[in-house]
Amino acid sequence: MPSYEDEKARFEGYDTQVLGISVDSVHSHRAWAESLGGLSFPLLSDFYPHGRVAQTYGVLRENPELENYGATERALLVIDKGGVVRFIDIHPIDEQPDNEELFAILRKL
Amino acid sequence: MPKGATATRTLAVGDRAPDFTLASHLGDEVSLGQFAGKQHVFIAFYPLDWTPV
Repeated sequence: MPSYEDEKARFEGYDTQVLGISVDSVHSHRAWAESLGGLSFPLLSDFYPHGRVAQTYGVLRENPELENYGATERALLVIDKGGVVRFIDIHPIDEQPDNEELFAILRKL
Repeated sequence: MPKGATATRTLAVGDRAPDFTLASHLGDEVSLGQFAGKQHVFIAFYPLDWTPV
């Protein structure tokens, strides 16, 4: 998430709103954002009903045998102004995605 | 989900994104629909707060 804050100007340049989503509570989001020096884009809380939006988006880790069971995948999506999904990237959960790939998509919208 | 997957269990590129409304750490509620016709939206689902990545 901090890397998206660092790229704030570029997202604005591509007319793109950043939204972070996890199953954590708003309280956790606030404390974490503060510890990072503040985040200007919203961290959204998919806390109750637990992971409902993640489930709708097909990115909730519902298999009890998986690490981070009950959390979401590290899943990146770009939704265009018309509400259509234009990009989906599911990343290994412990790996930071490459932002350049993302900006290459945004550039073409 | 396989590494580098380009679809989720329920969504593929070209699908209409399901609308949602969730509470934000900035103190308001945010809906996907509020950006329609105005801005593109980049959504980053991430496993948990307090993780290093």
